[in-house]
Amino acid sequence: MDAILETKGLRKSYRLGKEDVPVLHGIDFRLGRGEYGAIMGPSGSGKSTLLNILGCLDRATGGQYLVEGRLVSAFSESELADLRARSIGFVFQSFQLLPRLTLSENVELPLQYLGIPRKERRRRVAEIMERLGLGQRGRHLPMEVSGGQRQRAAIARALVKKPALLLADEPTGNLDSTTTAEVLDLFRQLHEEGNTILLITHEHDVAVRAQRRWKIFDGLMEEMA
Amino acid sequence: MSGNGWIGGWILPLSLAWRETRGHFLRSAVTATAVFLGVASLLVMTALSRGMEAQNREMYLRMGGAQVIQVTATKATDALQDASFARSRGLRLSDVDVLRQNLPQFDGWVPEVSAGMGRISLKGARVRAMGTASTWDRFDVLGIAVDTSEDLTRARWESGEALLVVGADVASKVSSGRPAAALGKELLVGGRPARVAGVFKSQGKFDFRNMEVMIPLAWYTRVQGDADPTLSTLKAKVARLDDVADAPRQLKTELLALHRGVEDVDVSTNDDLLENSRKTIATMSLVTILIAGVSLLSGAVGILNVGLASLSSRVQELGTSKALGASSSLLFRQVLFESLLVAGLGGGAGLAVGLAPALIPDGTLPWTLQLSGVDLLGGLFLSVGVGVVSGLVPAWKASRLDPVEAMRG
Repeated sequence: MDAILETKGLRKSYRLGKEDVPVLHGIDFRLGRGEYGAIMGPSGSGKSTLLNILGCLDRATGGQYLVEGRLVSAFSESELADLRARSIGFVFQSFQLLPRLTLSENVELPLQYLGIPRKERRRRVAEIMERLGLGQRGRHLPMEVSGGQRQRAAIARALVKKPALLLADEPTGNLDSTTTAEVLDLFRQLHEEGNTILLITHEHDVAVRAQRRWKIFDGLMEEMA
Repeated sequence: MSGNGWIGGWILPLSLAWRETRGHFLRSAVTATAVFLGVASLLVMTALSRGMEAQNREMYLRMGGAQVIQVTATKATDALQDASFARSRGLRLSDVDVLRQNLPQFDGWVPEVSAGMGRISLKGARVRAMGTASTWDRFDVLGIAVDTSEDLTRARWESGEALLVVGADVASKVSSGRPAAALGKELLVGGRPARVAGVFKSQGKFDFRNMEVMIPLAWYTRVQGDADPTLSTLKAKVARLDDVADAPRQLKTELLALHRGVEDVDVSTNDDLLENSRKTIATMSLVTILIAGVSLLSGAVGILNVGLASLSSRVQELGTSKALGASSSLLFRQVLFESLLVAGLGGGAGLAVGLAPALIPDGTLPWTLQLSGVDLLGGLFLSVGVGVVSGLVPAWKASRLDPVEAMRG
């Protein structure tokens, strides 16, 4: 199985005054196409830092990081933006929907960044909204719908561009148990349909739903049995 | 083509910027007010000064253009000057004969005696008018056109017949609103009857000749019993344009000699008057530019302030946009367009006000308001300039946002 994500000795440290504070200590990690993985770890373990690097929002200070076989460490800012636009779909804990855009407009936004023609955008948005049960909510603003519907809209926004990888950061962190179950069922279905998913969570119940699991602690990561 | 490209990706940031502007319409409108005031005041004052300049040029031509030189009798301003002026007889009609003889480079002489206001009446009621006694040459030298139904000739005018040529307003007053019907009507000038023999052709509602009444100087001297009256002004026409440069000095030298060395007249050309008027208009324009500049600067500061405040309040949104794939250049354009739209809102309203004078019918105002396409383009350019200047800093800050930090809020 070819790798969507691959890291080799990935390191990250932050400058604090005159000192370098290491957060990630050489992480080797590989996620194949079509896999569903979960990275677990407590607060301060470095999981968010790792997610930011894997999502091309931040840069590593050492080691190698490849997305679909391409070494992204050497990418310029605009190349990283292009990679995010084309290959990575983000789902955030607090949804991060733009408040002045309707749910449909939020979902359409990544396609606009890609310069996809209007007609095709509308078709894809309608399709994914319907697929995620938001067909009747397209014209609503985020503040007008429930938390579960917001997260589904955020997932729709991540999936609409058919990314190589769906990256989810604590996707159920702000949801009640019923909605959490709904969202996790959705991830399972998406995985069954061939999507590659990597989620980061501190909740064991969420992580166990994934096909592969890693544990991160004090900047070191290992795969769990 | 990717929506993140510099050239292709302007519709998306523009539409996002429009949503943001529309979402805070009241705030945007208030911020745009200073730009509106700046652009509107600049355009209106430009239109006004253009109109005034055009009117002055027209007046200049109607006063004889470059070839007519005006001599105006001055009054003493203090006791010392008063004593000095006593040595001279002042500007007199008899001066004209001497000047005509000594200065052959002049081929037209127009002596004028201002008869003042309120000395003209109709059936006992005073008619508001400015009286001028002058010779027939005045019509020719100053190119004054007259409507007349009778044989108004030089011979009759110079013979001292009691004739009048009146302005359109005076004619309307004496004939119940129909200027043509004023011909032949009798008015009292200084208590003596005179007949309306002509009406000045009016150049519009605000033509300065509308309120004028002109009488033959020969009649004036006969009635006054003064064959050599003091003149208010003397207009002299230089025969050749080449002689205009030296003519005022020559005329002044001759008058000094005639007035026993007393400088009791001002000699000026129409070019001087036009230049003075231009200076006044230029000063007015400069003041307007300063006021408009301050207003536009306030507008720019206002937009900058709102832009920075707006940026702080939606750092998370912009960070999310970056995470979703928006490039730094796209965010730069989006935030810059927001400033441009606010400035454009103010500038557009200012342009509309600037265009409004075009809807005012000619003759409603003392000046025709003139505005060209270049002026409107200038207004547009200024608005865009204000938008760009005030939007650069927030746009730059937005483009430099670190998505991770920004999404933390």
